[in-house]
Amino acid sequence: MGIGFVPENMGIFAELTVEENMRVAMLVEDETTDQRLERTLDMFADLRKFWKAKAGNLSGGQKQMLAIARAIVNETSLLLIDEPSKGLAPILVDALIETINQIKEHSVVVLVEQNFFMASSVGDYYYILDDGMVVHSGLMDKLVLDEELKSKYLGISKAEE
Amino acid sequence: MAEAMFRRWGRELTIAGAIVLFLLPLIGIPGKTYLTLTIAGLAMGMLVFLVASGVSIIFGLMDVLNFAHGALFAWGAYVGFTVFKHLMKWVEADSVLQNLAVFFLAIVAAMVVVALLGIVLERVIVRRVYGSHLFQILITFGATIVLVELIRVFWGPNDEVMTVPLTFYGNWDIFDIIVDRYRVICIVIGLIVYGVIQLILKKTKLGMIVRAGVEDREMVQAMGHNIFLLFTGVFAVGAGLAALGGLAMSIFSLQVYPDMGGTYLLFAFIVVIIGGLGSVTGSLVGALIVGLAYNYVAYLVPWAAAGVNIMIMIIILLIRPTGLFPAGK
Repeated sequence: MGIGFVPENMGIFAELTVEENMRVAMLVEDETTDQRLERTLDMFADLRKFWKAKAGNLSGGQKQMLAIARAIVNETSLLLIDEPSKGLAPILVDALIETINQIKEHSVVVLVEQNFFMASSVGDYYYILDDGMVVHSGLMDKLVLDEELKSKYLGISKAEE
Repeated sequence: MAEAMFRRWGRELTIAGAIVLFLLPLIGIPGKTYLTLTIAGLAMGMLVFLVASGVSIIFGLMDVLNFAHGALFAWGAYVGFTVFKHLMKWVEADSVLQNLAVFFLAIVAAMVVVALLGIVLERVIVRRVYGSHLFQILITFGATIVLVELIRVFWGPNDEVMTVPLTFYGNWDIFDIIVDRYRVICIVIGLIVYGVIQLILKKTKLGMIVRAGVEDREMVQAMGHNIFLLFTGVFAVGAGLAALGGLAMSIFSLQVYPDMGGTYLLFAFIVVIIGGLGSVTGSLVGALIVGLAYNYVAYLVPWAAAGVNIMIMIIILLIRPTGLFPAGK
């Protein structure tokens, strides 16, 4: 299908090892997918380090990385990520931003985020949702500069940035 | 304080407690009898394990309460009975090879036929009641009635005698302890089955997917796996295991009768509650506890035998409701 999904609660299998989590995610296992796995692990060094560890024992940031790695290990044309920065320390959010920017190069990413800093660091287009409806959309570059829109919908005042 | 201690050391305490409890009868029972009862208990436990493991995984993975498992158990016994009837010469022969061959054939036939039955059951009936435990109970109960009546239709309503392969019958004399041969065979069968299941679960990709599914069924589906194929497959395997249990049990008790699934299904559910839903190891430990408890108590306090396992189940529900080995472990 080519769609990768990272749910809000990460959806990792705590009782399985990192290796098993990745293998369950890989629908096909052959030479091509092995290469993809290698490249994915290159992006997430920690996963290689904890390859045989139980996924449930990983830290919050590592679990998030595992969840994303699982979603991109197959060839995906569309990646859906739901609030990945939730509960992560700022330094991890930075790593997350870098990761998603890399993924953007070969997949379309639909990101749901409440963290404006994160969203604006990776997003090209934005859609603001209010009460389930899209109330505003456009280029992210424009939103970053639009103080009025930001304070009205996102509650961000100039001082906070 | 006791509760906190139990939460931290729960499993270790339970195992230690179980070991103490199982050595306790030594006070009231002479050594040799104790050994005989232990082997009887382990054998019975293994048979219950075969049924319980299927129920446990089916519940763990599919969230389905399958009350038709007892009927599948009975069907396994009857198919095996038919195989024995047609190959009676091999059953009665005084040759280990022929006995093993016919036993093996009976096992394969029973497991295949009942697995197919399981597939039909899952696709036609169970699939429609995913998500509703109440309907699952009702409909599988109904399926049980149908399956049991079908036994009566095909094989007749009477109890039939199940012949024990000749070399399986009788005792071995080990250091002056009389050990019933067939009980040991049951224990061996149980251990082999447990070993194979664990091997598949831990070392194969399919096993990984099943374990992941037991933890988070929706995520596995979201990842692109065909969860429905998986469900049917697991259901079929569970059915096959029940069939093996039924066949083994019928040789144990020397008879087959249409309602034979009933008691064992009850034991199976008790075991699954004690052991933890979704855990094969839990089913094994729970089943051995049930088998041993039943046999010791039957000797010491006969009237309490039937009730002792319910008591254990109640205790577990009070102090550790998720069972000894909660889902996935």
